[in-house]
Amino acid sequence: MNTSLLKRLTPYLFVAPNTIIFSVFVLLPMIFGLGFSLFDGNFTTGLHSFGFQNYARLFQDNAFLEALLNTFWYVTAVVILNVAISLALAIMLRQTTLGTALARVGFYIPVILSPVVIGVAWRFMFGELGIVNALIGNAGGATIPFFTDPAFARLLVVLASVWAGVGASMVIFIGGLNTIAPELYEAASIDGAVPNVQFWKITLPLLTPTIVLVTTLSIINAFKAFEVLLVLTNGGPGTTTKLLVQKIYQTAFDETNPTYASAMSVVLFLILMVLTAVQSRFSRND
Amino acid sequence: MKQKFSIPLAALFTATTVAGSLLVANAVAQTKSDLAILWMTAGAGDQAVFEKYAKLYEQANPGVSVQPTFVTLPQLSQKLQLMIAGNTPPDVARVVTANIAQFGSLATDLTGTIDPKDFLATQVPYIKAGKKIIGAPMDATVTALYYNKDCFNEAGIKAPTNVKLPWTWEQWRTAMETVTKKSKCRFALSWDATTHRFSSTLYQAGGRYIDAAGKSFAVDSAEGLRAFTFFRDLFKDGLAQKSVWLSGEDSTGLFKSGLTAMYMATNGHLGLLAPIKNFAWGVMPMPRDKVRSTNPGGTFAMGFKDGKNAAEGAKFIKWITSKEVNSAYSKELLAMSGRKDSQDIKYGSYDDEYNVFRSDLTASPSLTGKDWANPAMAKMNVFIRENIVKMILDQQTPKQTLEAITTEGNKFLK
Repeated sequence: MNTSLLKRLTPYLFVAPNTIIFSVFVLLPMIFGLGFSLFDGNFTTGLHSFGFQNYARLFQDNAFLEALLNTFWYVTAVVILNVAISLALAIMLRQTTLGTALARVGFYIPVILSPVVIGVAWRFMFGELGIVNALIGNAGGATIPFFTDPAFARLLVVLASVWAGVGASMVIFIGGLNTIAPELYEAASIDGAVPNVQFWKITLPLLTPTIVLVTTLSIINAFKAFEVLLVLTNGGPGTTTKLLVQKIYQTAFDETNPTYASAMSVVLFLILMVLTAVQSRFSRND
Repeated sequence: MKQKFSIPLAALFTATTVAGSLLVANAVAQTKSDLAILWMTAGAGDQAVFEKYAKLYEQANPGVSVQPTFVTLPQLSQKLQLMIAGNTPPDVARVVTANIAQFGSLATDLTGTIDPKDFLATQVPYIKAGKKIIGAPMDATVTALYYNKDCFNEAGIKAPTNVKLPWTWEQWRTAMETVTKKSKCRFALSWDATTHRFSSTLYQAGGRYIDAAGKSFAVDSAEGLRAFTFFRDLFKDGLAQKSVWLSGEDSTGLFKSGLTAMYMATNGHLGLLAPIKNFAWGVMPMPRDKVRSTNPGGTFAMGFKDGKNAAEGAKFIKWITSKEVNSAYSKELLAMSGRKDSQDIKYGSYDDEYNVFRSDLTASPSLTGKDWANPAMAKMNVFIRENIVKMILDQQTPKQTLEAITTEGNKFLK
């Protein structure tokens, strides 16, 4: 083989491992999933061509629409809180001192924990026999139905998810803040701008690309949320915290209907595609 | 210099990926003497017992290598579906009542290998699918009611000891109300959140899910309404723990904490409760309404006809469900054998509990098995549970719950 051919092949060889793995474990399953969504049946009864009927059924299926609605409120709450809290933390912990370094580590630790561990830990705290209810009980108060009251359950899953993800967003924001030239703040101070004005007039506008990035990543992660909620509430009480991914899993395996679940997955994929396209558009404008 | 190394490095990356994939593929490829078994267990203890019997089988059958994969009950159906979808079904699987019918069409026909007459009448409906025998009973399970003896004593409640004179539902309810008022037990009852566990209530009221002909859902009856209303009221009145059904709280953990007076589970939980040291516990016969009933179930060994070693799988099923092997295996697992001729197993300090389980099993009407052997029940399992949850949440009445189950269930029967 001559040297120029090898030279031309080199980049392809470098990307080959990732391409192979991506094709086998992501692309092919996606294509299969899309194909399955056009069939009826399961792997034990066999598959039968079904056209687009699974999709037509989706929009008359109250359980699916409820899961979709649950997902939208969950995503909205988690993303708003995640962006706001992580931005606030990043501003507070921007300067590197021993204290802020330790605080950053503290806020980042939940990110490296397994979602199952997070679910179990929150369950230990707020469950029927959890620490919080034990303290309330010992103080003579009535226990709080954290996981059986829909409002409390919604609040807890949102707080647990934000707690689990805020560290990662904070790190991205700190990176973004560090790209803003300190001279801008010095000049603003000389002109008499107070910190509040500096935030709205300098920090926020210059941080917009980072905010768009964090928001997009948060939205995508929130749409894919599964493990924490499964362990924490199992979608309950009832179906109050059952999100789309859990509904897909349950339809595929508990109800042995993988073809219908595939149609749900395609809908989720399309939603994420639209959101990613919007993010790309925003990024280009920036 | 960089270019000099980049080509071999890139080639090395690619070669490693391809070689790794081939190695994995080779590792999962089954040889002819391998017997691939998917075995459902309740934990490490069960797993060790099965491994011991797997070795015994290998010793008795030189050249055969038993390759078990262990799964817990919540993973079982998913794992089997994925193995089937990937065209690598196991040769043998241990399944439960809820899914033997689900996989029946793919089962090895054990006619001639297994004689249904050897097994308990309650287990036989599950293994018959038309003219085919799709599995062999390993053990029989019953829904069982455990209680905290310390809390009962503290509250001055005497649990029924005569298996033929269990509490009526009303007596049971009164005991629940008393025990939380007069003992340290904060909660009256923890009830496993499954359709199967709930269903003993339906049968006690004299109801059933599917009619005798197996043609339509018959749960929407006066008996069904009484059962669903009674069950709903236990939660409404704060007697049964809502968190178990509404948000997946660990029902076993609630009982083991010593703060829950009663626990509706199965005889299979006896092994899980055995290590409890902080309070004394016992088993009482299932409360009755119109009739005495538990909800029998069990585990079954089934073969898969598309398994690479299906014939050896059938041989293994015959061996592990034989009187000699199954009796010893059941005793070690503290399980009730599914065989008629293995009902004299002694469980030492648990003999009293097993007398209660056996009595409940014998008293149960045979229609319970007919209901659960119908493939429609496997498909309706989640739907029924979700509708019971809606009823507990007061999102629908018991009557609406019965109507919803009937409408959805009849779709599967048609």
